Amino acid sequence: MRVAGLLGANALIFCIGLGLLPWLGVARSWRQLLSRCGLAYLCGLVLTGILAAHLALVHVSFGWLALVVVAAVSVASGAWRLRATERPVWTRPAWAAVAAVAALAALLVEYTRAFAVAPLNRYDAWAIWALKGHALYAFGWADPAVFAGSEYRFANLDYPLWLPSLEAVDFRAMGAFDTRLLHVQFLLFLVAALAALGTVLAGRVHALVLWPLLGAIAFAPAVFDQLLTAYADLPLALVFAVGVAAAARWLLSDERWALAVATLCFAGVLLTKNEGTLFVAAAFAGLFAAAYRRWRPLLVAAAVDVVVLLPWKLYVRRHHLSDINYSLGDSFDVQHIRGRLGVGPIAFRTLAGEMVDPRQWGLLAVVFLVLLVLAAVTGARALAVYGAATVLLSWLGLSWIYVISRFEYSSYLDSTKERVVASVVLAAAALIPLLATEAWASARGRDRPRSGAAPAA
Amino acid sequence: MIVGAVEVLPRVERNIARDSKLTAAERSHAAGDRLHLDPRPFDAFAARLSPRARYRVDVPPGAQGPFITRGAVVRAYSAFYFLPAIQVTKPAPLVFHYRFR
Repeated sequence: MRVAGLLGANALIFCIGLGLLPWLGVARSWRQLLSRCGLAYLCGLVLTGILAAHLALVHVSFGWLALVVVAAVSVASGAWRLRATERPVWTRPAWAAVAAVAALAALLVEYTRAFAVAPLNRYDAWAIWALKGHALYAFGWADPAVFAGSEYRFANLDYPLWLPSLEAVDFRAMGAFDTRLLHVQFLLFLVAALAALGTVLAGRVHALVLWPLLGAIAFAPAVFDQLLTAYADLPLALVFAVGVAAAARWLLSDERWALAVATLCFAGVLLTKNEGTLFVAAAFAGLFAAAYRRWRPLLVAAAVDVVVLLPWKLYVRRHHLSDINYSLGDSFDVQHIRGRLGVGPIAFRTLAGEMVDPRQWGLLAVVFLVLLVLAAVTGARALAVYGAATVLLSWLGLSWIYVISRFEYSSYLDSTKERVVASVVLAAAALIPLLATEAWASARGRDRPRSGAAPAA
Repeated sequence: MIVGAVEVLPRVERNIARDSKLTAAERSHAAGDRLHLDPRPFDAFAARLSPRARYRVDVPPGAQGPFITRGAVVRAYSAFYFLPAIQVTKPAPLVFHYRFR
């Protein structure tokens, strides 16, 4: 019964995303909606999380009723927007795609056996995320007795509520605080992200590049291990990776829907963890550097993301919540920084070691690096600049956090190094097919691989 | 992909073999067991709590860990385990006493 509740809630979340696609410009006809419906689930998760997180601040609980109402409004308005547009036409799927989907599905079924029995026993999972999810479920909103209570400071109270809000939606759908089935939701994040990534990249890259990339992500040991911990780092990384890929598609093709998807994903990232601000800032810096002539839509996208984050920042300010791990203000504490400058290079090297560890991430980071250089050399410079800036700034920013933190650096680094790099590695991985395709096209002296291409800057 | 598959598939099987044997009680106290906390005081106190009941935690500081003390860990675990009761710092009618052995 609880499984049915969890899956039912996720089916409604898919419907929310499906109805959202026409509004994002992803689907301008029924035919396009069918071909791009792979984006629906992730977009639904991101939007549902944002709505639930914001409503939690104003004493509104997001349960079955809200799910049904939002799904109905979304589907009806999406259908209205697509009225009298081209209908889908049946085309036989390519055998390679069918085989790849079957292989991925088999792997995910195998993963499900592990996720369905996993215990909730990792510190951050229960002390931060599940605790907040449980409190939202039990109290119906972000009650300051917990969410601003001094006894709960250990739970990183200044972290935004996207993930706990989705957990609370699940608990309401299941009718219980079920710490076992909660893990299945984390596997569903992977399903949503793989489908979204495949859809964002489809049409720009060859299937022979796309499917191995999706497989490499799904098979990456760190993806399995970290999703199973029920920490926020992997959901954050998956949503960020889709946003980075969508922004890259916009960079190459100037398709507005791709920027809209990136904006939505980045909003989800901002509302997941404080580090999300670093990653999104790095991605926008890369976009501005690579496409400075198209600064207007970028500025609008950045403004939308800031506005989405604003209600949470107001709640944080109102309740005087602060980060217990580090303070960006310490960047200007000369005395403190002088004593810890040596930590920077150590953290930078340590994080690099994590990213290229094949037992964690396979060869994703190494392949990205090789293709980045190839793309730069062969003339696909806009994508190379964007990829390099996003990854490098994120990596430098993470390293800086260890410098400004007041914790003993080696313990802090040891306990977090494996997971903080997830967003950097998966963002890099999401760019691999586009880099390969662009480098190949540039090397052969041809135009962009498919129609609809536009100048990069 | 092959590198990942070679590494991850045995891990999946190991996890299934280990976690599928957990009883409901072991699953309920999985986080506390990982921290080597005695589950009995937690269960006994949880039985006295109602939703939104205020309680205080009385625990010695204990040994210092890499980030926080053992006592702070017990407070954190109590906050998680006793929800939807609410932990407070000021005097409360209910007090959870925990001692390290």
